[in-house]
Amino acid sequence: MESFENLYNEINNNSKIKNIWEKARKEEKQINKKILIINIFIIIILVLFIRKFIEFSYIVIIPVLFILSFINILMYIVSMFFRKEYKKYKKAYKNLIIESLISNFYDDVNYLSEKGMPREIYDEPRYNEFYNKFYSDDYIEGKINNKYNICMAEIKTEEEETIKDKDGTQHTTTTIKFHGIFAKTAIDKSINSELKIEQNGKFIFTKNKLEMDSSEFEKYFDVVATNKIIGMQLLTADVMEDLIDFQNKTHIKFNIVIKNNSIYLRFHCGTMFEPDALKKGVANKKQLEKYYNVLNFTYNLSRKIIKLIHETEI
Amino acid sequence: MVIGFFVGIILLILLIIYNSLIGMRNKVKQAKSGIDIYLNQRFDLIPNLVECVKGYSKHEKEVLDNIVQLRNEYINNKKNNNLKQAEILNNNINKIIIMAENYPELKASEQYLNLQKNLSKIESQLQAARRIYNHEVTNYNTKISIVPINIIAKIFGFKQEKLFEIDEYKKENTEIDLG
Repeated sequence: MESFENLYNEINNNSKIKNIWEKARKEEKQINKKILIINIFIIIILVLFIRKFIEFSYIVIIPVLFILSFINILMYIVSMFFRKEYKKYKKAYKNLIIESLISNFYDDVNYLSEKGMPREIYDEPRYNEFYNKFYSDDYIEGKINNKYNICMAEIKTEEEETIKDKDGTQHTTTTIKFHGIFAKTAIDKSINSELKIEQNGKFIFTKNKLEMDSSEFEKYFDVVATNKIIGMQLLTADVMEDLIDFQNKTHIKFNIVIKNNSIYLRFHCGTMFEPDALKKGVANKKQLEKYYNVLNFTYNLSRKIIKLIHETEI
Repeated sequence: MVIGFFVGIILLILLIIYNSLIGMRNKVKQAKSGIDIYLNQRFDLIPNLVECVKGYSKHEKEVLDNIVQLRNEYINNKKNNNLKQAEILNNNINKIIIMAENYPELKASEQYLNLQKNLSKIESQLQAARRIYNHEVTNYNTKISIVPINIIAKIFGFKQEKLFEIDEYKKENTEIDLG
């Protein structure tokens, strides 16, 4: 397993992806130039139009700015259809950069950027939240140490509510319930307990709340375990430290569920595995580091939990 | 009227504090009984462990006899046994495990491997129970030390509980004279 710096240098020195990025960047510059020329042209026409047909006042500037912004947004959307090189770059970003990042941790990786995770898998840990819209893509399948299956994907769940006003008009509101990465690791042993680790104080009045012997851990996390001894066996000082470290390092909210023969991890990190603006380089280092940290944490934690389950004969 | 109101308030506060102390003490007792379960399971393995080790090592008779004696004392004195005795007995089991590492034939025997597997399983459960117990004891001891709760605790006879310390199975922890 390579460190992030090594991996990032490898990506930056990859001539194939560099060439594709350079072409996409060139194409973007050309399109931007064209949009600028069209903008100047529109401004000239509008000025001429105003001078000939309307008496000039400063109030006129507002609709002009509105028209200009509308045309610019429209031009940007239309230009996306013609950005062939960008499409190539996006594909290469996923196939070359993201896949190499994932392969750094997992064996037999199968990364399908267009495919989503089945909803049934996401529902297995039974998160206590209602949603009626489910979206998923960037599906990843792999193995930990060539043995334990792991699958993960970007998932977005929403609750769409339609409310009728007194006058009969309908309003639809959409609330995002979860947007981020969801991962499931299969263990070869079933544990006779359910362990939940949350970060937002959800379990304050829950019967099975497990108070941990680390004040630092208690500051960030809440734990619920149907079997307190198993909960304590899995949450060793080492594991608790890892969770605190990840939280302090990334500030990504996450929760963990361990039940039966699976470990479920959920990172509230928003969109993942998408390229950033081209001007930020072949790959945005900060963004890529975030992806690396999430994958690394998932990998290490899964390994540690599996090892603990085996060592302690849980 | 006013005095009665204040006395009522004070009595109510006393009642709340007393009940919370009782609740915490019960939690400590519950956690202690959790430890007892795993300690007994672990100590029940001593005769088998001693028999198994005896067959391979003739020089550690004293150590082995000592642990059997300690276990018998612990069982006979179960009602009064305290965590200190359990700590000593538990640490002696760890000594035997470390001692066994000097006998490759013993280490390879199926009987010993099974015993070690059971011992490490119970050891892990015991460590987990110990963490729960010590956490409850720390909370309880802190509570009864805080002013003015310490006064109420003293009046009603709430005493500080001892933490349970056991050595984890570590090679470097003990030195045994192998004769």
